[in-house]
This record gives sequence, structure tokens and C-alpha cells, in this order.
Amino acid sequence: MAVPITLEFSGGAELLFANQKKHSIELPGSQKWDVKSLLPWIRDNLLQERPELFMQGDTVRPGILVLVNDADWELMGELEYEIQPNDKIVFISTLHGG
Amino acid sequence: MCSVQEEAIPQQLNQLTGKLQCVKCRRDVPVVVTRVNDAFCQDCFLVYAVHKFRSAIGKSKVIVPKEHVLVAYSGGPASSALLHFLQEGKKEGKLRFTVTVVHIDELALVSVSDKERQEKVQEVVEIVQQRGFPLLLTSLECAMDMVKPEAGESSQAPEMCKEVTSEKEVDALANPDKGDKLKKLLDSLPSISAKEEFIRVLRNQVLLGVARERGFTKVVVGDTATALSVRIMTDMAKGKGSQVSFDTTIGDKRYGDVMVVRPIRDLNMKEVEAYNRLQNVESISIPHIADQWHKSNSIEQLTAHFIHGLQENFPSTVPNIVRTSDKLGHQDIESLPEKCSLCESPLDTDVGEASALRAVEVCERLLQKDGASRSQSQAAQSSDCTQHDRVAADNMKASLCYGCRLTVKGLRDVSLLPTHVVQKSQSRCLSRDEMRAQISEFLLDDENGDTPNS
Ligand SMILES: [Zn+2]
Ligand SMILES: [Zn+2]
Repeated sequence: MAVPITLEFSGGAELLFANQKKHSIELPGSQKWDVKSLLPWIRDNLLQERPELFMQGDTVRPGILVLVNDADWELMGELEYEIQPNDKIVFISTLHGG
Repeated sequence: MCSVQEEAIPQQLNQLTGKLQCVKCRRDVPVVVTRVNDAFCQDCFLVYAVHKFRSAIGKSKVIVPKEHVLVAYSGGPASSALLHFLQEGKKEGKLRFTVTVVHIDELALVSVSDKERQEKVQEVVEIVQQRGFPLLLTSLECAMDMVKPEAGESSQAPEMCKEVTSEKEVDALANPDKGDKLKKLLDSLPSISAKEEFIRVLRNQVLLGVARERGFTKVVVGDTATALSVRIMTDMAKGKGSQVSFDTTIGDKRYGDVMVVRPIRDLNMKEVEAYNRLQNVESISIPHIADQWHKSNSIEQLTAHFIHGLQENFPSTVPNIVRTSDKLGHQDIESLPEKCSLCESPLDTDVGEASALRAVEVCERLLQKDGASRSQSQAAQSSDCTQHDRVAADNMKASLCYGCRLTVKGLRDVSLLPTHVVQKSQSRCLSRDEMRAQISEFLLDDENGDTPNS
């Protein structure tokens, strides 16, 4: 049972994803997905360049904000959050300022 | 960072509050965790953010009622939020000053077609019109040749900016000649750190130039606490430590006639992004030359990475850096009439003989001599580049602050620098000689006062 979710990249993070902001994807397999396993999946399947600007260790690079269904991921358990079908997960880079 | 104990680790918040409530109203579900680790619901967060903006302006009293101010808008998230704050304030009748927006088109540095450039500028125009403010357009390359007001009776001097009155006429103030000159200059700067710094200085010069041309005495910018803390640490690393005390003030008076105002300096980038998201504030992603550089290589990018990393685990990092800089005093500007001819910060190079700066200079001279004797052939070649060039380079160096000296250090031909900067350094050198003759009898030898340790 694949898990359909929406990913969004903005604030300059989209530059790492061929300038595409919205991605509708299906997470394959029958296992449970959490943010911790989602990040390497994004890196291996969607990211176009320079993985070091997206991830650091097993989490996102500092300066990238993560929202799970419009709420700060700090309120949702961060890496431990278990992904549900139709979740919307947003990555906003704050490294570009403005 | 001395207050580690005060910081609750974000994750604990879950366990502490149990079923997650907003810390303010204790009713609604929180959506944003701010830097003090308070979890706010949507409504309470928006109140908090607006309050930060308004109290910064209100308490500081830097903007006088009925004043007409220039607001810098890049299209990025921070200045987009700033425009939204201003629009909301205006709607509620709480804005006690009038606003004109200025946008600096920096696309000359990026390889985009004229059409793409037009389209990006059009996006800016639409957003600013949506917010209901008049717009002035200018471009970064304007800073390659700026007529200074004190020198400027010449009425045929080109305008620095122009009004956009209708949506149709948006052709940017692009100037291919100056654009090429700027590109050539950037190409001859040896490091990305120097290029970044130079672009920043030019941007600032354009803002000041437009303000002066149009008679504004306040320029409002969207510097966030995050941007400022990166700025402070970068300035220290780049030899601009003497300017750090100006960097974070809400009303930056270092330029004398034009004050730079920073009303969102109490909000960090995370808060700005959260605000934009909750209010559906659009920002524009404009291609920038910095995107092409390998970001992690410059001083600024390394510093940003360092600070973001600290901020992640110690959310009071950013406010602590900003607050520390607030406590630094700076010299009275009036007592320091000389300004750097590039960045217009007070000249910090007029220090005593026993200073670190002089020591650096001596080392440099010794190294040069050593190098010259080792490579005779090179020295012979460079003697072709005439005495005149070397004098020009020395005059230029003498008219720059320490940080700008470092920025243009690798530049072999100082005549590539903006025309007005070259002019200023020349006229400074002339008047300097006269002045020295006049005051020589009052000069003390070897001042042993407190020499700054940089
Ligand atoms: Zn609330
Ligand atoms: Zn300078």
C-alpha cells in the first residue's frame, strides 16, 4: 500500500529540485514511513543536486524549516512523526534571506 | 549563549504541555514554535509578530509622524513580510508615515534575457501595487557611476531611479554599459567572499543614492534578526568589526544624512516565513548570481551555516548575538567626519602607530619586498604598469575602511571601481595634503591612547 503525500519546497529550496515547488508523490512499500525515512527517500529520488544543501546527517540542514500539515514539525515530533496518507510536508529554506 | 539553562529543548514541549495548547490563549492548537520555544496558535502568533514590528517602530521613535520614508523591497520573504506589515498598518490607520517603495533590479549579473528580466520586474510591480504603495525602480549597476549630491549641480546627470506609474511601463533601469562594467569588476575580484561583500556594498550605495536623489532621509529595510546575526559575525570575520555596532541598531546613523531603519530586526527568519505562510504573503524567487556560486565556500555562507546550526539547538543564539551587538558603543559620528569612499562607513584606519592595523601593514610591505626580490622578472614587468597606477592604487587604499581594503585587495586595476569612488579617492588625496600642511603644528606624535585591538 503506497502512501500518497504532497511535498512542497520553497524559499530557494526548490532550486535543488529542478525549480519545481510542488511534488505529488507516492511512498512505496507497505512499511510505515516517518520523516526520518522520508528525508533519504527525497534525497535519493527527487533531489537534483547538492544533497549537502538539503540534508545534514540524518536530518534536514539547519536553516530549512519543516511544516507538517501547516504546523511546525517541532510540534509533531520532528523525525519521529509518522506519515499519514495525504499529508502535506513543506520545506522552506531560510538561507536565501531577502 | 551564556543562557543555556533558560532554553527548553523544543522536543520537551510535547511532553510538558501534554495535549498541546497555545501558550498565549491556552485554548487553540499551536502551529508555530518561536525562538523562545513558545508554541503559538495561528491567531496569537500573528498578534505576536505584528506587535514586534509595531513596537520596534513605536518605541524607537526613529520615524517622525507624517514623514515620507523609502522602503527597500527585494522580492524576498523578509521584505515581502515588511510590505505586508506596512499595508496592514495603513489599512488600520495606524501607520503614521507615508511609504514609497524602491526595488533594485539585480538581474544584470545573471544571464537572463531582456524578456525574463522584464517579467521579473513586472512581478515586483504587481506585488507593490497590490500593497498600494508607489514604486521606484532602480538597478544595481547604477552604483557604478553615481553623482554625489555635494558635487552635483550638473543637471544632466542620469536619474538613479524612475517611478512606475502604470503596469505597462516597467522597462527596468537596465544600463548595458554600466552592467558590463559591473560584471567586469566582479570578475576581477578574486574571491566569492569579496564579490558578495561588494554586491552588498553596492546595493547599499544604490539605496542611499536613490534616497538622496529623491530627498528621503530614512530608508526602511527588511533585515531580520537572523540576517543581522549573520551580518555581525561576517563583518567581524571580514575586518569590518568597527562597523558592527551600527549593523543592528534600529536607526543606523552611520551615513549622516540618510538613516537606515530596521523595523523587523526583532523577528527571525523562521517567524517571517511563518507569518508569510499564515497570511498568504507572496514572495518572488528572483534568480541571483549568488545561486551560481558554490555557496559553502564564502565567509558569509559559512557563517550563515554556522549560525543556523547553533540556532537549531540553542534558539536564543540569534537574539543573543543581536543583543550583544546592541551593547557595543560606537564613536560619535560627528567627531569622525571622514567616510570610506566605497561603503561610507566612518574610516577606521586612522589609528595610532602601535595598532594592529599598522602591524598588518608592515608585514604586508615586508612580504612585498621579499616577493619582489625573489621574482625579478615579474617586478620588471610590473614596473611597466606605471608609477601613476601605483599612486592611484595607494590613494584608493588610503580612502577605504579596513574592510573595504580587504574586499578590493585582489583587484589589480582600481580604475574598474565605480567612477564616483575613484573620483572621491583622488579629491581626498589632494585635499588631504593641504589639510596636513595646515594642521601639522597641532598634530601629536605617536599617540599612545587606547588603540583598538582588532
Ligand atoms: Zn493562541
Ligand atoms: Zn568601507
